[in-house]
Amino acid sequence: MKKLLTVGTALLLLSTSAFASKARLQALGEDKDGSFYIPDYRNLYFNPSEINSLGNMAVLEWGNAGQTFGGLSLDFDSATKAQGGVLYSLSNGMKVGAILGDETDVAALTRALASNSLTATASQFLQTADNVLDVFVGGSAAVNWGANLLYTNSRSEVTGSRYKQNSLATRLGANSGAWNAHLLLALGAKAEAPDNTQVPTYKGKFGARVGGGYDLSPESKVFVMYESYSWKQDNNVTEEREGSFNKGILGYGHTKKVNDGGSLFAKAQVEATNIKLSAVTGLVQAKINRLAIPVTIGYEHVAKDWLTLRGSVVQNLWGTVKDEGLTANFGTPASAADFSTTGKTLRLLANGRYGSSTSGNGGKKTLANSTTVNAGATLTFGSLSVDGLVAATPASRTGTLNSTANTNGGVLALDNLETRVALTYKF
Amino acid sequence: MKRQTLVIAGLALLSTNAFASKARVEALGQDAAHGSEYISDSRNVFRNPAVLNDTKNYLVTEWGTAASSDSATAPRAEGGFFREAGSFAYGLYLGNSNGLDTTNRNGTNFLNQVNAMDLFFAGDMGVKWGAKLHFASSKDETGTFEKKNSAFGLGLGAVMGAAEAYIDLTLSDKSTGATASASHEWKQKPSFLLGGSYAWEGTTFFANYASSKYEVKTTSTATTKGSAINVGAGRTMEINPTARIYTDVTLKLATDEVAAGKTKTTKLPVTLGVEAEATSWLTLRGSVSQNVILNDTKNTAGKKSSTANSTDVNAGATLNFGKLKVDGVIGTTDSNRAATTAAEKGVLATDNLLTRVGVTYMF
Repeated sequence: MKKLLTVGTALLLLSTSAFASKARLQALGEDKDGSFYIPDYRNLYFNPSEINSLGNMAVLEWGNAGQTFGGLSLDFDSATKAQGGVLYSLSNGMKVGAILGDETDVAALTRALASNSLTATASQFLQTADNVLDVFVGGSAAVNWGANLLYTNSRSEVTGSRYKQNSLATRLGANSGAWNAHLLLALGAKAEAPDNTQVPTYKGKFGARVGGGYDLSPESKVFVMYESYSWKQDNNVTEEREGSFNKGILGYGHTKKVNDGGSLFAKAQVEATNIKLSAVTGLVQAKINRLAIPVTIGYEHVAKDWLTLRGSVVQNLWGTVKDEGLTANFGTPASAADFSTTGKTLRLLANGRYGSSTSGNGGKKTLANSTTVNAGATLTFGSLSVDGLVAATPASRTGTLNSTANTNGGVLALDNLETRVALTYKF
Repeated sequence: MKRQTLVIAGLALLSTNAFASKARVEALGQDAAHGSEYISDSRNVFRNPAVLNDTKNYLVTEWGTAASSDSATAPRAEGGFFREAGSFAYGLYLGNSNGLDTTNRNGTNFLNQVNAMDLFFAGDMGVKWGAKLHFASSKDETGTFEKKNSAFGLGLGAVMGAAEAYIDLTLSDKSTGATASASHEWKQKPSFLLGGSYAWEGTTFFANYASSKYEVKTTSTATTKGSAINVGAGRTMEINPTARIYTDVTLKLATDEVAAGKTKTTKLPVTLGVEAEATSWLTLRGSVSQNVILNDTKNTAGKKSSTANSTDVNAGATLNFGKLKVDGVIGTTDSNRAATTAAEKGVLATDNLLTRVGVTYMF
């Protein structure tokens, strides 16, 4: 029985760890930056000790500069950001890795918040973290441990387009047997754009993420995570403000291997997000409080030895968002496009990522149409795999690529065979 | 054991030399014009003609348009063949240019270097040596003023075991007569790329120095000077006979000087690449590169700025049909087909299966 369990666990690990990409996690209904219960190389960004469970590999996430808003860029499904790197085992058993270009959306969006007030446009955004270098190291002693250092620094002294940005952060993690724990510390972050109309500045004050998980059985896991980032921002229109981004997650994930080539995934979690901009005196406070209990059901199946398909459906069992002071602080958007093309960034945060109301007039509402379906595929060529999202192409080839199948009329496009493609080679 | 090692080394050499295209070199994050300093590819013959001793008996065609300039998104048609003759080897290549294209010649004003031809000759006399002659000539008498262009270049190189040395000289490149006047002139002064490399313990250390100067004489004379020093190291890690990991780091120092002043760039790009034979008929490859630590451009006013979004992921594939190989870049087609330009948006498009295609036939 014990042997069967070991073999089963090994197969489970093999089938799930064999793929590794943002596209895979997204197709399984997870955050593209990592999962708390599905093994994937992306989990390094939550817990660097995961490097000990990964073999030698090279991964390339296709893309370019992403969706740019002035100096700021975000990793959109329709405009992905290029990144990639190598993880490698040294002869003494230690693991090392370097990944280039991983720039998180949250870091970009907090800078976007600091970039504008009522009238700022996209061209006036602060520079996002750019040319990021992540270095990983890990090993096994009494526990599996891992550490990461993130570094980014760029500037322009050219008159008319001056900016500076830098940040430094470290991630630490450990796991042993059934438990794992991780910590992120933001050691410093700064951004300023003295030639932008509103002369915005951003200075990180405190940033940390702490979390962990425990395996109730080889198939099920509970996990918890809390992150908090605060900053000071200033410009020449409004007075100095303080911003904060807080998010907490408590969840349960279950993985069930149903046959040699197939696994089912299920997850339920409570997510609470609070984003706040506080004026030191006077002005209306702007904030978003979001509470959701999304349930995820997913599958991954080796359809052929060269093809693995996966998909998921996510819906909130409970989901509300309450916003306040958005219009007063960020103006009224002229159209829906305003959310992504102009400087109404707190709303972009709220609408695009946190499901706030589009009116910005304040109040509380249910997160409508929270049901999302994603799908993905991996083309496997031995040690080489090509991951991607499928069903994200709209029926019209002149339309914009979207992130979920249900926003594109359910099209399986063979010309855009995969989107958000990643190429992984294990060696 | 020794025989096994030889067989594996032979297979590895075969697998790496079997490809030859700008697409492959670009997908691995290398210089498409001159090839790579450390990755074996027959495109390297444009850097060091002595490489012809190891890469011969093939014909290559690079698909593209009949254009003066060449880029990944708008490739220029070119191609040639390379063949052995006893202990020598020779080659003829059509359409290659030196990179100082329409932009540097004020667009349609001066005649560009067109219908260029490169002749190669190489031999192995204990030391592998090679030479390349570059020639282009054209004229247009149909306009108000006669326009002419002529260009002549010479490349020399040697391979001595683990060491390589090369020089690529542009002896002359002159365009006389312009749309506005017969006396206008674009002229490149003798320019060169000089370099060498040494492979030690599996790592290739390389350095090269490039210097170029050209003048544009109209009602006044504008001179542009450029120089670049690259010092770096690259390593090819053979995972198995069908797969390789490539890593390199290069310190790049460059200066461009015009009348307004000098522009200096200091960069330290790191490149990580992978190439693997996915199946007997398909080879996939890709790379990521990014400037790390050093990433500054100092403009003519002395102000520095970083290169934004320097992270670059490239990918490519080769369709193998025995002696025929179809190389190309993948991942450069936008999901939106209304776009007329290429875009790297993370899309695997099967209608535009490969772009910047190069076909190689080995004989």
